[in-house]
Amino acid sequence: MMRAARLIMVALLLLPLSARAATFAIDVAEQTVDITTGFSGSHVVVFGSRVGEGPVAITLKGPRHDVTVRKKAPVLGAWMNRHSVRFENVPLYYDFAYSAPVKQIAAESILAQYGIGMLALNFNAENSRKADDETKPFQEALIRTKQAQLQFPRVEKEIRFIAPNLFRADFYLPASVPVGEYTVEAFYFEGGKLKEQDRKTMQIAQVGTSAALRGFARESGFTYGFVCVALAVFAGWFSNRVRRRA
Amino acid sequence: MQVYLPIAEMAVSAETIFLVSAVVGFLSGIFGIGGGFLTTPFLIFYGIPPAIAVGTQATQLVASSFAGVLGYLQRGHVDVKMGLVMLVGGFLGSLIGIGLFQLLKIFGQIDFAISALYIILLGSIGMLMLIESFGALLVKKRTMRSEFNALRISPFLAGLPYKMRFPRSKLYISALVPGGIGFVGGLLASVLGIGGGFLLVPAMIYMMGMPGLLVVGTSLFQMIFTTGFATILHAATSHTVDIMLAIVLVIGGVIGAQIGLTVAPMVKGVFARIVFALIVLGVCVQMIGHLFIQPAELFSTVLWMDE
Repeated sequence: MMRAARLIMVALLLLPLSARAATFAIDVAEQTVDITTGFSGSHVVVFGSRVGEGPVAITLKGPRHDVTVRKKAPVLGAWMNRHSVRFENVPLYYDFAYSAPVKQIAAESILAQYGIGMLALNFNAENSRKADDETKPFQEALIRTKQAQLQFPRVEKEIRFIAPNLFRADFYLPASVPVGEYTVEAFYFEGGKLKEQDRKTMQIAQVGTSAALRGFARESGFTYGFVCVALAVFAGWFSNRVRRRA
Repeated sequence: MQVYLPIAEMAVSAETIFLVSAVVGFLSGIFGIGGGFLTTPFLIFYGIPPAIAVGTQATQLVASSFAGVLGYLQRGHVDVKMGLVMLVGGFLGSLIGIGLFQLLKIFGQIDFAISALYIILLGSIGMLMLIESFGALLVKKRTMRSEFNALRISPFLAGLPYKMRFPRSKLYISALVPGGIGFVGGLLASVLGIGGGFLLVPAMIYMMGMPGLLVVGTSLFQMIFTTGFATILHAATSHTVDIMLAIVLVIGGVIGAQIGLTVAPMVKGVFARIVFALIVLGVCVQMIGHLFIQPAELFSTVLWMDE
């Protein structure tokens, strides 16, 4: 109910905008996604308005980090990690949505320049003495792994029009979603060329107990370790007491 | 019920983790073992990063060894002085183990190292137990105690310097022997997330000639500190102790152990040991498959968050 109410508010805010001028604007239904102890995934709803008849594309990108992909090879019959490639600035989450079939939006290579579509999932290999065709299987494996974790898409999502100029797109964040700052970018195309764009950011963070524990563990690991040990000792003592009374 | 693990940054099924730790707790109640060597591989197979599996399992072992040692202390079956000497080695072993763990992680070989060490340890222990149990089946009424007493400590161990008196165990031996055994225990706790009782107990009997009555209590006594120390080191150096996961593991382990302890007197010793040896060998075979059969996915990814 809360979410529905917020969506309607966002929609109402956007309506006069679209009526007033040639603006292209988006907003996210919720600026923060809270990861609590019971978190098991969440939706991100993006609302927007356009003027004109052109198609729209939206991307959702997570925080960027370096990722190392390792490949196993047999050593005396045992499968060990033997080769590795480190990719720079890989978005830890990526998804995108189209309001029309991709052919009606723009050439895929143009879309990729703006970071839209599967072709945009192309990363820089660090101090790459290796040739492109050597790092390619590693990049494919990275994409495959992220797809299996629902952190990269397999196909585009759909942007639906709920009024002639008002659209919405739904993205899904899995339980394993990386935390950090996410960027929503929207692109408005006309005749295969980018006309307008807009971007918003949102925070995905652990809150409550979950965040407190994580913060505690990161900032004062030593004390945190002591607390864990103390809890374990208490649990051991308690179970011994129960056993003796039984 | 899904539980979100704040350190592992993933949601896991609380029931599955609970069930497994309860089964392992049950086995540990029956056989008097910590069971870390069963839980850690399971957590890794389940998809929890090896570093977090090892660090968190060390926490669970603090609870189970503490619960275990209280009973032995009440009956006076702990040689505290011996335990403290072992601890000195244990702390050193934990420190080196943590360093080793970090190195292996950087080189991307931690999974391999853990699997390979498990195969060696579980394979040899399982085989020894199986042979010993079948031997006991064939030759009945052979008392273990008298065998141990008749055992001669090797001249090399007996000749080591820094001799100390251990009145409780009625031993006069070099402090290097218990220290060395503790060192191995510390290494195992920090690298593999296991208490290593299945290795320490026979070592204390065969290498030091310690009275059987004191061995289990003393090994549990020093295990509290080595696993506790390993927990703190893992938490401080690589933030790999997940308190939510630890809580589920501890609760499951405690409940399972209670049931196991109740059932234990009804279980026949030799058959129980055979079943146990088969479980150990089963995990070993699983590990061998994991390591030697070509995996479906050759690639793995690592995030560099902490730089």
